[in-house]
Amino acid sequence: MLVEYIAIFPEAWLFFGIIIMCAAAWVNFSGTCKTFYAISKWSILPTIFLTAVFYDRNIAAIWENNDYTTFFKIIIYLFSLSWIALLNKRFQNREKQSFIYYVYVLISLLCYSIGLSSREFWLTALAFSLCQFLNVMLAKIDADEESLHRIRYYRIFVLFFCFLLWIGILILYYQVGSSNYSDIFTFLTTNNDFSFLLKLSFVLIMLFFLFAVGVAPFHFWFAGIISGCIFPVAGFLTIIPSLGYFPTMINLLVNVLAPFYEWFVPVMVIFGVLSIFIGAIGANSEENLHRLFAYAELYYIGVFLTAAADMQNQSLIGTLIYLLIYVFSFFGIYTVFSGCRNKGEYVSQLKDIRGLSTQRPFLSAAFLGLMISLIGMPPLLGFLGKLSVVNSLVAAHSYGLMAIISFSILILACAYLKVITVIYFEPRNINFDRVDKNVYIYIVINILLIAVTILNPKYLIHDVEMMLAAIL
Amino acid sequence: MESLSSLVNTVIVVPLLGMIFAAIAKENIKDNSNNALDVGILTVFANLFILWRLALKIDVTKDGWQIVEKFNWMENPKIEIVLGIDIFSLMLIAAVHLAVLLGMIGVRHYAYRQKALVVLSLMFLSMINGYFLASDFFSFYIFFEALLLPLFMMVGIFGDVKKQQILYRFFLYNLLGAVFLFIALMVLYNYQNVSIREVNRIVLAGRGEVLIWGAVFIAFLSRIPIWPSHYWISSVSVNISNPLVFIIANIIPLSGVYGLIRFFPVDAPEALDPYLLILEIISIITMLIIALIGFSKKDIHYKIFSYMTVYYIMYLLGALLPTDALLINIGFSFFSYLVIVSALEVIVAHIESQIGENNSCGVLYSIRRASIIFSFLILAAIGMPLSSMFLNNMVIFSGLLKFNIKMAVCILLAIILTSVSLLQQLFYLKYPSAEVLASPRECCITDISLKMFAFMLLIAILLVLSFINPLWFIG
Repeated sequence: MLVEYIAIFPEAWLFFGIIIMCAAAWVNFSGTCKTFYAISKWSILPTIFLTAVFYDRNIAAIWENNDYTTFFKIIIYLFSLSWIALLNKRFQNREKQSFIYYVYVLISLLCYSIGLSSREFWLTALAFSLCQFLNVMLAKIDADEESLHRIRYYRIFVLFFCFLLWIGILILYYQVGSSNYSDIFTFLTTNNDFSFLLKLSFVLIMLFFLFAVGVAPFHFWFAGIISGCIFPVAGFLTIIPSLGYFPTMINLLVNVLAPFYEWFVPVMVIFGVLSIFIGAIGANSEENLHRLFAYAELYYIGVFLTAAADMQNQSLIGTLIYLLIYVFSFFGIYTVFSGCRNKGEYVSQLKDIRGLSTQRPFLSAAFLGLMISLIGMPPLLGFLGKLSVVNSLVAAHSYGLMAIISFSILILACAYLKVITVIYFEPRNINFDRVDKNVYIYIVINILLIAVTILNPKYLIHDVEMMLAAIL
Repeated sequence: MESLSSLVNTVIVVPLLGMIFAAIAKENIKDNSNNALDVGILTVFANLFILWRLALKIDVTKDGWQIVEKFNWMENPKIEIVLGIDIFSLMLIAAVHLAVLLGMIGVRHYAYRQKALVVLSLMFLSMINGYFLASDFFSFYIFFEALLLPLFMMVGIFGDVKKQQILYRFFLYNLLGAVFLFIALMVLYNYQNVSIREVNRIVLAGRGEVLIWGAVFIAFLSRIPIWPSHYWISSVSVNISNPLVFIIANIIPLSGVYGLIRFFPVDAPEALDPYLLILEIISIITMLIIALIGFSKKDIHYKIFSYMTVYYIMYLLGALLPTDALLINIGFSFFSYLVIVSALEVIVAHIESQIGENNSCGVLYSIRRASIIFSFLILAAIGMPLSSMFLNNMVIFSGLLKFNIKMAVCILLAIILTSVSLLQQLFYLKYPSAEVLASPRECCITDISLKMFAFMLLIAILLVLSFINPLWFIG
């Protein structure tokens, strides 16, 4: 039925925005950076609205909108919108850069959205492969020679892992006879004896997702790429992809590949624990703030993977709560970064933020609060995430993993302490530029949301439970 | 009692509100206005008033929490935050308030980032109030760990700690303790969710018992200056010249002792007995060594630190004895102890600000008001019959002598050493040597202000009243 296609109306609107932006660039390229920003904004805003309106519309067996997909889509759109609004001044008088940035961001959003709702493996693979290539293209914006060199390597790995994904899907298709999620799930539940090829396809698909999320030992690209990117891209790549890939991976493991999955649990745990340690130790060795937080992200991804490894209801609730809190905190941290500029340039080295507290006490306090929250210290929001994850592990009698997660935070805390020490206890050596009022507005909103959530976390937990109920 | 229950959370909320007001208070460095500090002092007074209202309603003859307030914080996992107050926690909260108040008065002339100092102090006050009021696992843990942030910031900004490594260790040791507590409480919570007073009802099997209770023990011990965690406290404490920060940093061991008292109200689980013996030996060795170092050092800060450490360890060992009678005495003794040490630190900070790098020998000779207060405080500190410490310490000692005479003798030795060390310092500051008398000081030394003197006299009267009737505040 044609009316079913209304389910993809939000994505269609986003696509329409991309076309408009390309047309605007084609018609007139000079002085259009504000136009590109406006088009992006007016593409994303109605998309959010439409996504909320058509939250339960499906297209037969190939497209499914439910609470889970809608929740993550809206969060991705909201964070992206906030991010591009916060940094639109970065592209003033840089028409070409702004066009590339905004159009790639919009295409990425479209792809993440498709990946989340798709019920066909080929469509998911197509969307996420495109996302990977868009990451490469975004990273290339205004990159220096050294970064370009790293990006070339990254591109090769992207090609390789996308190739693995497609091989995995082809094998699966060859074995099952369909690439539809429901058909695959039915096939796997009725056939208990899994052939080597089936297992191979599963491993290849998982490898792609683990690479895309940036889990150790596939993390090698992430910190390198993030440190060389321009600031708007670094922020985007730190926050958004984990919101696209991770929920999709969970959805696939719970609803499509579940019968396969059990033997893979120890592998997930190993990757998770490895990420935790590499992330925590790596963050301590960094002087570049983007790299430091990229390693910190690796730590958190490791925690998510470890905590969600058994894919049980309680574990997933804990993990997704932590994921949301983490994304929220990281967004806050990058918002603070966006307020730290010297002579118009965003600072990126640890030494550049020395004595920030003496000139920008509010920014510093926000930075401090967010970092302490990320350590999981009460009464800040991060504690709620830690509590959810650790409680789910204790409930599952995974005491060893609980101890690893709890104690490894001490290693990561050292890296954060280094940052706090530099901000608060060292003398200032540069003058920071005047902070855009938008930065303060975003920080205040962030703090208010944190305060409300920590005082009454029932809403957040209830929402996550409702959202998970849609896929479990 | 129900109408008063909201006052329990007010004790936590008022300092937080004060913190916000202090943060937005106008700071004018040119005319040296102390707006933030005034807000801080007012906040402490407001909370003392609330505590007085609560004290009037508490019945000391009843056991257990008397005014309880519950919040349903979370459904999954089901967590109910329970706050309650009894005479023990009330005494400690009042003592901490008086200590912080003394500290705030002591920093009136410290212009360096005063607003930040007041904001962080009030944050600390709110968190430690929460800690003393916590009646369930989670609120206990939340406030136990939350104490760290304001303390770390204060020590980092005002602590004059030259090596960053010391700061890191300070934070990490404490965080490690908090992680131990978190793990233990999560396991206990999933095993049987009870209030803190009923925690000894939980019976764990086999190794679990040793591991979990051991983790709880380590968590609280990480806050007490016992080997190996004594290092951070001594390294941090001796460098602090700001009296308020010194007082707050030295309140932290109290959180460890309090935790142990709450979790092991009569005796620790049997499985921990062999470890307790090791703990007692380590405690006594630490106590004696710190007392000896305090005796040999000339630095008054270290002498005060050594005095505090010895007493904290004594309270800890007293709390571990299998009798309830000591606990209440420890609670009352803490009150006088904290007030004395805080007042002492304020006077020391004043003396140090006056003499700078010069020789402090006989400095009290020329400042009579400070001399009177200082002498009184030193005599009260060493257990003379001037405060409730006299009676309470006697009871604690008799308990220690009854249950373990060898341990009591060692503790007595350490206490004598620290007392002699403080008296030695009093004589040194009070009586100038012939050399000093022969060459009078070049700069004039200002005595404490009349206002400060009056306030200190009030504190002294309060201490004497606590000696005359240790339970006078209950009515």
